[in-house]
Amino acid sequence: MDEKILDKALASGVNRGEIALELNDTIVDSLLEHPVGQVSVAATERTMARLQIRRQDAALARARELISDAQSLPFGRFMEAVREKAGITRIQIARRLKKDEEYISRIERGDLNPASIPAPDFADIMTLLHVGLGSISQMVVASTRIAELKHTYRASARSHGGLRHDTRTADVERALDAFARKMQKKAATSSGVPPEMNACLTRVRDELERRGRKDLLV
Amino acid sequence: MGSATAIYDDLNSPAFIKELKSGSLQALEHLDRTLTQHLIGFLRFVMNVPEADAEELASDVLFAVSSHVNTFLQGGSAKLTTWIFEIAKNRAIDFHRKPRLDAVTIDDKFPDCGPAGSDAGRNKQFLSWLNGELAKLGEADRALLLWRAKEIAYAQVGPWLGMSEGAARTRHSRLRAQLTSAAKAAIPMEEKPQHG
Repeated sequence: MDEKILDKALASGVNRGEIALELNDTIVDSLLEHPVGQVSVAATERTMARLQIRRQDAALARARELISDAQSLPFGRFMEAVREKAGITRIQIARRLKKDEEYISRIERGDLNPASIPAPDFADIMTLLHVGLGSISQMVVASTRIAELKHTYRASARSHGGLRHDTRTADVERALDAFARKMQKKAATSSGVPPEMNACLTRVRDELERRGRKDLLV
Repeated sequence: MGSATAIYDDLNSPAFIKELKSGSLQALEHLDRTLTQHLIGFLRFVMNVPEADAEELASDVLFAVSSHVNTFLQGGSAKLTTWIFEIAKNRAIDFHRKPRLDAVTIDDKFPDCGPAGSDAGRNKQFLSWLNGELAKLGEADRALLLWRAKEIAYAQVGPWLGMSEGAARTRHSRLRAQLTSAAKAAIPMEEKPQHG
């Protein structure tokens, strides 16, 4: 056996944990002060971006668990609630979904009918929020009914000299949402899924199946 | 302002660790920015993890740190940075032990990166002997052999062990010579197969 083979055996044993390599404060301080080898800035940035995504995913999963009344919320408000509980900004969500902030804002406010969101985008949102098709169906139905009620209230507010939707504040919109939800619960109308929603959910189901995301079909 | 930024000057200061344990995103980001490059370097060049995997493992390590920082014992046996490097070392060991079907050795520089099971049992006897010999050595000699096997410069290893670069070089050379001749005596050479 020559010395090269000895070194290889030692290095290999350390790599596999078969030979114990002790790390202490002196050694780690020295490694921090005089790094071994060159690591590119690109590699560092890639790693940090990957880490940020993992942290966001973990925060979203935790937030998702904390929202108890998810199924009675309209889809957009659910998305907003998860995002806010996770401490993530609209811009960060927009980046993850490869959309702009305004698009996310429109979904959250309920200005964009969920039925009009393309299936791949819908599947992206569901994947990001860790939410299955079963929960989404109910939220989407709630969204549609609430949007209809809100539309009625808006029209009535306008006819009584209220503000136009683009000059109302987010707080007023949110209050309108909450009120519409209350009214929708009171009305307790039939729980069937409207046909246009059914078509939308079928497209989303197909998209999830195509992606192999069986976990989100429930 | 001054004291707030001073907290971030030393990752091992009690104030910074307290901030980190409180869940401060700013502290976490600072930790990531400061350590990511070092961790990738340690995993690649010390623990011989391939480049792409080293990046993945470094993000694993920092993610684990953010999830488990509350279990770090401040004022315990090691600094926070040492604790983090220990996690990185253990992740690298797990990586090397994990069977991988897609790994093919194209460079014999790191013979331990071969396909799963390619060298299973091959070195068991030798490894056991080697561990026995290493146990007979003093702490400094053992560390010198291992860190040099990891190609860390004498100029860096020497001061860790309280010796000059020259002394480290001489001592290492003597240790390797001793160990290789002991190996020759202890482990008989394999008989070459007879041809013809």
